[in-house]
Amino acid sequence: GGSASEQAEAPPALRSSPRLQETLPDDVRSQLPVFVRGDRVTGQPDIRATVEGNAELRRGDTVIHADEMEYDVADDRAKARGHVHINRAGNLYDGTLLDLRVDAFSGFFSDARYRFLETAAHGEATRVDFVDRDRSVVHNATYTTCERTDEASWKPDWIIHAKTIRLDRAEDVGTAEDGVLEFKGVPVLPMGNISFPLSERRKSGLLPPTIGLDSVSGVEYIQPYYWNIAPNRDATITPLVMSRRGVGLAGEFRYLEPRYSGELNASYLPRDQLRERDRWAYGVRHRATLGTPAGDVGLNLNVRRVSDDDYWRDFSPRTSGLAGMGMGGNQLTQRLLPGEASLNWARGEHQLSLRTLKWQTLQDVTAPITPPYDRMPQLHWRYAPAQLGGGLDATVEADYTSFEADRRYYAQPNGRRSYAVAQISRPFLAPSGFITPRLQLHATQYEFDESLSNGQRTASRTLPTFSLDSGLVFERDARFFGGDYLQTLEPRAFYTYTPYRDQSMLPVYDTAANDFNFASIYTENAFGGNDRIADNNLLTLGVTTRLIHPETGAEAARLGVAQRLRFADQKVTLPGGTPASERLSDVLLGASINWTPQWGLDSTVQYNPKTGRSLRTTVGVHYSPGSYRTVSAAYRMQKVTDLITVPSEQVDVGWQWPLSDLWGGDRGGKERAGRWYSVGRLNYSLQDRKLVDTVVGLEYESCCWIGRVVLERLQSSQITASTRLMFQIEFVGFSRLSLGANPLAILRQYVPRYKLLREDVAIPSRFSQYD
Amino acid sequence: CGFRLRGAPEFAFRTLYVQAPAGSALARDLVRTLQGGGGELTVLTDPAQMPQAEAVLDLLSERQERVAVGMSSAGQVRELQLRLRIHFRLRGQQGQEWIADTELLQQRDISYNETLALSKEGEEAMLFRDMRNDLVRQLIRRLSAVRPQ
Repeated sequence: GGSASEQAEAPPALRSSPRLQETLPDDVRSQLPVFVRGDRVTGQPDIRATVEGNAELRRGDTVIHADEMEYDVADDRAKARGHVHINRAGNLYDGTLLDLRVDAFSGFFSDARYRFLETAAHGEATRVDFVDRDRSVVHNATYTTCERTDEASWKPDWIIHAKTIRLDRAEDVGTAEDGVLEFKGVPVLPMGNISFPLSERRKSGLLPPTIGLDSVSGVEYIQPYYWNIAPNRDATITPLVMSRRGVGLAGEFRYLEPRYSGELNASYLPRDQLRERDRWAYGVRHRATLGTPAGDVGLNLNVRRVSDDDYWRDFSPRTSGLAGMGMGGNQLTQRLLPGEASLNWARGEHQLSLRTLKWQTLQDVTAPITPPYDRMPQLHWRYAPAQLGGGLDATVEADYTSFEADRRYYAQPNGRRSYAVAQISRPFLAPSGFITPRLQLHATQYEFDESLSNGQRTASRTLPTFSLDSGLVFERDARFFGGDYLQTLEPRAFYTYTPYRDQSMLPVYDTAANDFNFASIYTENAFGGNDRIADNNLLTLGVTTRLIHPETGAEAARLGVAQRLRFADQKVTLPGGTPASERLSDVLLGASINWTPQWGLDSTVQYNPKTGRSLRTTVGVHYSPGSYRTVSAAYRMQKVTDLITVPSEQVDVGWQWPLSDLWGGDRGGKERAGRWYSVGRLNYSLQDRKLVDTVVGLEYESCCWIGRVVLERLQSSQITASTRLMFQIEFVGFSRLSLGANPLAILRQYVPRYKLLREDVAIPSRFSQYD
Repeated sequence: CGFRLRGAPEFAFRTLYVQAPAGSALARDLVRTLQGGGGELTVLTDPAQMPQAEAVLDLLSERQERVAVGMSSAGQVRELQLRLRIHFRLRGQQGQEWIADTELLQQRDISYNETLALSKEGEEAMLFRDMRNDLVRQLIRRLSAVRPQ
């Protein structure tokens, strides 16, 4: 028993508290002691204290300083006069006369100046009524987040004057009544009753409006409203006006639940005066996990639809309020919109999916698009046993697809295609290299709606393929440009053989030639899709060398070269193609250099040694010396080949750079206020001798507002283009930041290292304002 | 000229746990490559074993991006850039950071044509696979370079 009682009586060990508590719990708060001090303190203990000269009262996170103070203990009530200063959890108030219940924080304050910790917002008032700990009403008030300077002539860039402002810190919302917003001394926005956020938390409210001038649509005004429905649900509702088109409305709704999530959006512009019709667009994205007796089934919906062929050209996918997410955002192609639904099921080694895909193609008589086939539907099964004896790897895939397309665009009939592919390989892997023989059998069956030109209603094809992939890895220590590197040398050889079967009568539904690149050169079939299987008897030889930083393992450079040797002609072609008879293919050259984290280069060249010309070249460089500083440029050229009918040659430039840097004086890191930033992206087609896509933006960031001017020029056909100029102003701490209303944010995907201004603002601690 | 066949990669730790979002193809490939790569390293796959692992690789994010980087004058996409962007970090058993949060980015350019959308689907999948292979190789290089003090 003795040892047990010893344990019980052991003194509690001291534990360190990792940090001071930011907010005090309620049960602790009511028990906190009151400290009073000053030059002269009189009164009765536990009843009343009167302090004269440098009076100070301190309770929990509240401190009051004044010339004179009376404190009534029973009521917990402080009355103070002369140079009254309150610091409550970092929020500061200064005034002349105070009457306050300290812990309840109710009372009033005359001629007050206030300053909030979290948003650095401050202002003045004739009187502040404290309702409770979270709520107060400020009379004849001003409100701004512009930092006061020491100069006597200081005027804030923007300020709200209001008859009253209600501040609710529980809801983090301020409401101004009878107010006006002044910018640079000019009243810009009369406000009857307007609310604004008191923190960076997501709150319902107006987002910064955008004013646009569009060469076609006229003057535009876009005013988004953000509705924070629940922590896992929100909506943005955007009314907009275009002077030459009319009035429209766009909306977006997002939801996130444990078993499902998604986004819905829609926009509607009734009776567009320029096109004389209703314009609309909608998008649905929904992901869900459905519980079934056979296990979980994933459901995916991705649907985009618009009212007419001109939609993409009239409403810029990036900046128009009407395009919303309906076409912008993650929508890749403007003129080809997917309508896709799929069910996916997987258990152990089996995967099964059912998918329908129906496209909407936006046509243009001067540049028509032959629409791709719809999958109505596709059923796909894949079986990949994890453990086969003898180091064998095998997969079996089976697929049934019904292909449908508008017969106006295709001479071949619609049809249903089934195929099965079984492949077995035996990889021999070692650190110094690998060798993988692989055998594959591909069986395909077609059934057509109408006869082919030779009278056939069905067709079938079975083809075996053999391949042997092998590679070695050598290493050595090397010195280049004054640095130590580990250099590798990685030769690779890939042989593949597929016999010839005449496939010229078969239609082409989902098949095209793959680009010639370092991935496709080591594959068995030159075609992507399953309607053509190339007859091959060829060997690909390649070698890659890498330079690796020995301390970090980071790759500093990679150079590669590869070429194909053909031992027999490739007779299988796509319709209209010519057989490949050259014994030696083009040479592929690739380089990727990241010498320092700031500089990078990526390049691939497909070079024909016989003609001395390149059929495809891509070169991209980027320089990113720091945050908000990045430039990238790329050149991409594609010549017409047997397989690619449309040539293209383009230069693409993207950047983000602080302009003040250009004329000297990098004020560095923290001091970011009062700066011009430039951001942009230019896509120039040498083929068309035109800038096909231009976005240039200027951002000005002052301490309490951000201004943006964005110029967008979009080539809408061979001869026409539309130009838009947009203006936006964000009053920091008044209209909400970074909730998707920023037309430049979309540039992120083009300028890969683009960073939003004020992306990383930390909320200060109350101890940063400790009195 | 000084080249030798590569030996099995050597790591400063004997056991590794790979912490990744569910269904991460990169983590699957990485674990498979490490397991088949020879050498002394044991890859722990059961989440319950994580505290025993001498090193934990956090695959913080894995993002596939497709960006149209070249357009025709009639709004058709002509050039596509595929990017695979990952963030990872390596911790020791006591939570020491051996490799701070690092981004690795791979990108590939391919030609595009709306009519060929179905075939491009497969081609994109092939290139993402190729980028994943490349990132797995780079990750192993970085893991084997770690020399904790």
